[in-house]
Order: sequence, then C-alpha cells, then structure tokens
Amino acid sequence: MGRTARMLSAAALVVIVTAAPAMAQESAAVDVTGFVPAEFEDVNGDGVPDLGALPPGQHGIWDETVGALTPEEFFARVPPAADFDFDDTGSAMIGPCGGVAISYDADGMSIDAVIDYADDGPAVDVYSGEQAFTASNPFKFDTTGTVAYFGFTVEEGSGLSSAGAQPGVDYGDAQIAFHDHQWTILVAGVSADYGGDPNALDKNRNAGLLELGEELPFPFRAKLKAKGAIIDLWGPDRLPDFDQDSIAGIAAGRAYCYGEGWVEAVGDQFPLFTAAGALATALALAGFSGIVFNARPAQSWRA
Amino acid sequence: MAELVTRRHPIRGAVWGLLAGLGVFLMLTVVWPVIGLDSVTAVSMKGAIVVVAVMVVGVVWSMVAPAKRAKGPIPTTAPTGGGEEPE
Repeated sequence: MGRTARMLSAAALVVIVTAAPAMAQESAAVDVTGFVPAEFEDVNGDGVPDLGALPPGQHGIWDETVGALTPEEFFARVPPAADFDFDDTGSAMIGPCGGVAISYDADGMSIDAVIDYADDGPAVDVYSGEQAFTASNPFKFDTTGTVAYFGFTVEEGSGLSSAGAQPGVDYGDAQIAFHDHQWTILVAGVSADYGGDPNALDKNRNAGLLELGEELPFPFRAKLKAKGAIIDLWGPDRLPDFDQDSIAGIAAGRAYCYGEGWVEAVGDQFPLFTAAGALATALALAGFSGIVFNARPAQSWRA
Repeated sequence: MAELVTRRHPIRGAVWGLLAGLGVFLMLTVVWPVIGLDSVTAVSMKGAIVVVAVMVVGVVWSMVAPAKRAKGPIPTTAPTGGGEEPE
C-alpha cells in the first residue's frame, strides 16, 4: 500500500471515529421539544433543547408553567418512542412514577436525556430510543454541569392513597398522590439521600435543577449503580435495605415506585488533571517505578 | 573469599505493587471508568483482584528480572562464582 493510500485510510479512520458519534446525535429518537419552553433552543444541534447560560434567579426549564402539567398533557407533548430493545437488562423503573431528565455540561449544552412513561417498562434514552440506565448505556452527566428533571405520578390505577394518617396533619380534600411517603436513594449500595413527607398538599409532580458543579467538591469520572424507592403511607421511619426482588414485599401492598440503573459521571475532559486523576497517576507511577527500579534483583559481593 | 550473590526483593515488589495497584484501580474507577461502582462488596472484590494482580506482577518481577550489576570494586580476594576476574 502506498504512502498516499495509508494517509487516506488513516484520515478516513479519524473521520469515522470522531465525526460519526457527533453525526449520530444530530436527531433525538424521542422529541421532547414540545415539553420544553420555547426560550430554550437547541443550540448544539442534538435535538434536545439546551439551557445555555442560565443566570442566577432565572427559572429553569420546568420551574414555571410547563412543569405544571397533568400526566395526560405530558404524554400528549412527549409521545412514546417507537419500539426499543428490551434485551439489554440492568435497569428497571417500576410503579406509577414517570418523568424526564436532561443533563447539561458547564456551558448548558445538553449531554444526555432520559424519559420514563410511568409504565412498567424501563426508562428510554431520548437520543437513541433504546433502554436507558443500562451498564452499556448509562445516563451521562457532567460533574461540572446541571441536571434538569421533571417527575410526576399517574393517578389512574396507581393504587396511591388519597390522604395520609399522620396525627395533626390536615390533608384537605382527598386527592390521589403519595402521602406519608418515605424515599431513599442509594449509590453503589451506600445511602446517598433519603426523606419523607406527609404531602398534605397532594403534590403529584416535581421539577428542579441539580447544579452538580456546586454540589460536588471536584470533577471526576465514574460509572455508578444507583437505585431508589418511594413507598406510599410508610410513615416517618426510614426504609430498610431493598432491591428489585424485595421492594414489593417491603411495600406490603402499599403503592411504590422503584428504579435502578447505571449513571456515568463524565466530568472533566482531561481526567488526568483532576484531583482523582493526579492521585491515581502519582500512585501508579510511583508504584511501577518502584517495581522496575527498586524491587529488581541486585548482585553484590559477599566476603 | 568474596562471593558474588544475587539478592531478590519480593517484599519490595509486593509493597510497590500495592501502590501501583491502588493507582491502577483508581484509574479504572474515577479516570477511565471501566469498573462500575455498583456495590461496596463488588467494588471491594474487583479492587482486591486488581491490586493483588499488580502485586503479583511486582513480586514476579522482583524474582525474575535481570539483576543489577554489583556496585563498587571487586574485593581483592577471588570471587567464587559468577563474577569477573579482578583486573
């Protein structure tokens, strides 16, 4: 093969490796633009609206009017994706809870997005239309960026309560929602957060921005298994340890939502220059240098 | 009579291997996340496998690597094995 042919082959390989992923993300499999206010435009051309620079005090995507939707309006604005591959296991989303989450980098450009339709199917990758939160297709987030989320509970057939039973709490008119609920989120098997609420106002949806750049001490990369559950009418006690097999037994007839899956922190684009990367590099370099130069056999004279 | 001996350092190899193994494990978890952090038990097992594997490499290297030559002048008395004759 001549030099020119080798150069062309190398150039083609570089183009395929670098350009193909970018081109592959130009259109999303699930159209979420109808669920995002018009002022948030798709700047990076991946089919998902971007935050851009979000000044302090400005409302996030779903903090105002668009977030205040019924589940029916949500489904109308975000039509379910076409068939997708259920073969790749590793994630689950069970119960009457649904929603959408979009992760953004530090510049407010969208990185990844997932959606769940509050059915027994797993969450869906907005970009590919395939099962999300799997080990091979984790939900990516930037440790210097932001995650915007909107979640809701469906009422029909959910089995959710219409009021709680905590003494001294006025639950008002009967409305179907989680009441006296308790929730826990575990990351890598370790409790990351937990809480509960009588939910006297019958709140059945929630929206917010998770500003990871301010929450996390430094950027890093990691692939993490997360799981979480919320159980209706549980009361103020914390939930015991649970997994997909045991959650129904723990709920003991109460309505619940359970989810588990993989997320990946993509962090800094130069991971070796992060604190964790520098520590890893220092340890590895010191260790291998010691092995090569200090642990090597040595000859000496013995009288 | 001076004798040329080869000293091996398997403990050094294991200690340096421990450091290198921890570095490699960190690389595989928080730099290029090949190892997923799913549970404390599973991650501990994977970490132990990586660290022990690198420690084994260190010990094996300390046993079979080509030896560094002896430093200093050869003693005036003739060595009994392996060394060169004094000039």
